[in-house]
Amino acid sequence: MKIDIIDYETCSAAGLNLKALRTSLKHHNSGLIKNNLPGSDLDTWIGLVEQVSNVNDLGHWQSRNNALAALGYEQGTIRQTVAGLISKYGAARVGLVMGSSTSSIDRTETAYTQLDESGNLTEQFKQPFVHNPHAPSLFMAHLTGITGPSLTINTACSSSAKVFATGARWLETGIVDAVLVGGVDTLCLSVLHGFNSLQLLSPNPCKPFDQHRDGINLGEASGFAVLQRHGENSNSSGISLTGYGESSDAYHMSHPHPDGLGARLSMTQALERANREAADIDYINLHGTSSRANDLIEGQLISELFPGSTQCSSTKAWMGHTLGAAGITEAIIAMDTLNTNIIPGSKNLETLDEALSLSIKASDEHKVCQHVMTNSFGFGGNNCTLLFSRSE
Amino acid sequence: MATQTESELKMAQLMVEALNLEDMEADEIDPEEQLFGDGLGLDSIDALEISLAISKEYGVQIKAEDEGTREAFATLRSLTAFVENKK
Repeated sequence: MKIDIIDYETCSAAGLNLKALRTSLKHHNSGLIKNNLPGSDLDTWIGLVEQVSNVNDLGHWQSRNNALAALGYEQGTIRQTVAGLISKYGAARVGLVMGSSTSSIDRTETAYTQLDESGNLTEQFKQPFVHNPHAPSLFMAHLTGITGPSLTINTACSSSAKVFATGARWLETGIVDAVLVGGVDTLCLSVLHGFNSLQLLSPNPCKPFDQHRDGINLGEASGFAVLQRHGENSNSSGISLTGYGESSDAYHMSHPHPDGLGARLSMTQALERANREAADIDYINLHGTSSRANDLIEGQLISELFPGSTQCSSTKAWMGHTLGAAGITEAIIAMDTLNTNIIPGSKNLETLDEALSLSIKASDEHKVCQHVMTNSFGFGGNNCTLLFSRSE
Repeated sequence: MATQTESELKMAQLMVEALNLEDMEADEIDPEEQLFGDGLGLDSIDALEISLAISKEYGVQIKAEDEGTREAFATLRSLTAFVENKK
């Protein structure tokens, strides 16, 4: 299979857009700050996108999630790329797949704090398309004018990685000529306190794969990419999606399979689909949340499957774990190495977990990569691995 | 079944409420029965729910990763004693 990535953009605490993210990565500037979310006194660090608060003209589409999606969509050339494809193929021949875990629960939370005396929603919160699991795609369809098939995927932290696989399948069946895929998730109290009650948050900036890691940091982000069948757009990024793997652990709601069986499946599937050996992979952007469990299991699996020549890192110390948006945020970081020729180091790593022996370090590596991968593993044991290669 | 002390009954009531145990009365929980696996059949998510409820009610923090947490959660009796000690 071969799907071209025509264009891509990202918006997170590490950078308002791809250009800003590249600068943050290069200078190892993290966007994490101490938690200052109103209504929360949790001792942790968060990746907040401050500029979202300025997006408040969405009318009945207003929610923090939609605001961050709108903000991200304004960056780079993404909007123009999509508009051009709608012009060329017609709105009904462009598909839309969004990934999110919060969807717009931030707005529902707020709505409940402002109920009227009878306990009903007040006028501004009567938003059936926002208090809705499909909210991200409903909003983006409204924003872009896309009228082709649209789907919102919610598989927790693998959501916006799976959007690439779904988009690729739609293109291969020929039901669309282009697909806008994306992801968005924002910080809100239910998420912060939910992770806190699972005892997963760290009071420190996260240190993926470190011997002394003590939990995760949460962040918010939005990201977009435009996909087409290989060769159908000469104005492409030079990067192609050449493989993907998707699997389910069927093990536990919030703990990965102890032997990483599901993750093993998604990684080997991606390699098979791309017709590649593990040794062909130059870089893997790991899920690496900095939880005790994930990093141990994922780290051990990598050592089993990949040689020392495959460089690895987790980039979550830059913007936090952006949940439903992590898939696309990190897919973009992975694929962008094919443009920048810089593999970002695993920021905040000081002492590698003694049980691990994979090729990982805190410093960057300058390398001209051919094939890169990214892992995203979600609660419920949902796994997705993507493989990107130079289009040639 | 073994007899519940007053504090064990209170803890059992907290558990029934926190976990929404519909088919069970608090005074029916044998203080010496295994909470997890073959006994009451609770799982690790239930453990976190109980920890949260205990933290709110008694101000006692129970971390899943700490030594002693496993033994504390063995039975209603051990859990009650554990929390009493930490109060």
